[in-house]
Amino acid sequence: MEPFFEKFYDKYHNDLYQYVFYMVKNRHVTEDLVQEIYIKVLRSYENFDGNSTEKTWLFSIARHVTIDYFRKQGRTRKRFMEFFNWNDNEEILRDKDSLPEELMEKSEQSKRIYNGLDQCTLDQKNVIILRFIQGMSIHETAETLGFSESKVKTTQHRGLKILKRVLEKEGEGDE
Amino acid sequence: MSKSDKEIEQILSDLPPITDSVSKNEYLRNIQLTMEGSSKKRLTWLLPGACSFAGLMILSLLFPTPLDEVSEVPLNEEPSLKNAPLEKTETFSTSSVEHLPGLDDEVSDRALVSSSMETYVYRAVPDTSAQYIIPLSVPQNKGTEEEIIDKFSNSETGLGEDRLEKAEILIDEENREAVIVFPDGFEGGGIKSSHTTIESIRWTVAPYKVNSIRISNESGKGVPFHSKGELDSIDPIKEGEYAFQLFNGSSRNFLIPFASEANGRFENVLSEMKKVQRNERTRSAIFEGLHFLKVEEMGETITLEFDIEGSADSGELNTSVEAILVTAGQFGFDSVKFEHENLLMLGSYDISSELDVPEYTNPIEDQE
Repeated sequence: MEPFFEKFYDKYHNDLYQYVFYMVKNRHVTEDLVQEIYIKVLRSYENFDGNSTEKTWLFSIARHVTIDYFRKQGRTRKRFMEFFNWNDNEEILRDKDSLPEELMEKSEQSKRIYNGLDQCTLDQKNVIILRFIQGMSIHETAETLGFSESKVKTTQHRGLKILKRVLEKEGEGDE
Repeated sequence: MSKSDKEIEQILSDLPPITDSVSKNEYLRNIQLTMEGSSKKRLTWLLPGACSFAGLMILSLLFPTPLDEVSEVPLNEEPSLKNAPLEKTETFSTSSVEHLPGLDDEVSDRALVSSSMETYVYRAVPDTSAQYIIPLSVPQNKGTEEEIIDKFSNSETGLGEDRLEKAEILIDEENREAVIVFPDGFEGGGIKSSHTTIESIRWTVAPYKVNSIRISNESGKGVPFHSKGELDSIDPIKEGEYAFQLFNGSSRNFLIPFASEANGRFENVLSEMKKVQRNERTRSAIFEGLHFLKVEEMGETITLEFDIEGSADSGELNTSVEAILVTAGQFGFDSVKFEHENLLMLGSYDISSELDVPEYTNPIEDQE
């Protein structure tokens, strides 16, 4: 197990961590999910058929794990209005609303775009993070998400439109 | 000024890498521990479930008669537990749970109230100044609700004493009636205390949508509530009677009800919710920049067309959505459709489809 883990960690950890963090925007949750992703990878590596690249395979697992996380959150919220209150969820929201220190030095626009990602749907967020933060090609993004390339383009367009609107709205607020 | 797609792509690609504080070795160690421990962990989780199931089987063998008698609904249907009349239910709960391994008293007892299939029970407690009532959803499987509420009953959270701690709360779902039994000698106290206890009762049973609430002491007599005299019944919460506002505990926040004067009109209640006077403990739960352009009732769904002015963080928007959903539930709606020209998300909520109203609000967990 250890050599497999080391190989994946050395090659992909940084990208994997960035992807999960920008999806969930919480360090503790990111660490838990990244760990879960490694476990799934280690358990299913023997089934990896090589039809996609190792990286897109890893990221498709990462995508499923993060979507599962959001679904679980959604189910709880739907049932009881999880709200900002109590324990982990409060921390998650508080953490989610606060900017990571790495972003503090960045421009106001970067901060708005970071916050604006939450206005996108999960698909749009996935596409935007993979395409522009991870630097994946349309083909790689499509493979990772199981989308057609045209769906990636459409989703990307819609996501960018929402971010553009976020910047415009915030800009109006400043004037 | 409008940005081009390229400019936005550039801002995105300039977002900084985030530092991971967990080392490679720590990940490896945690992964090894998780993978090695997974089979043991599974057994740990299975065991209580198996015990509970075995316990329930033994229960049905040992006490077939009381169960059959207490309900006209067949045993294999979930409502049979809920519908148990007071006397039989007490016999059942006190005589059985003490002797069954794997079923602690509280879980079994509460299963009679809110069904063994549910994982939460509902309570309502006053704040520390006994001025507001805070409805709560308490997990059934993490200790007794009294223990959990006790832990949260302090000045930090703003929760006060549970007025129904010593009362038995029973729900007859078939007849849609709640029965609250206080110990003999219980009195409601002064005017304020009596009012607080009565409101605690009304909100505790509100999720069950009962038509009537009976109250008595163990001897079957009415309970004295100061100037209201000896009461044997109180009015349940009616549809459209309350809207929700935000209660600020020192470190916790809650959605709490306030009496609505909107006469059942949702359009009016939204204005009411926004106009809530801010004071030391309460404020409006709706973000002030959230404007409702159109409010339309269609059957069980209320459609709200809105716009947002200014900047709100996702916490504020979530709170707004949640307060509206809880209030919509109080007004008898099943779901809310939020509509905006461009937005598909409002806070953390995907508003591309209708959002169901919740069963109740303010869940508390025994994790601190």
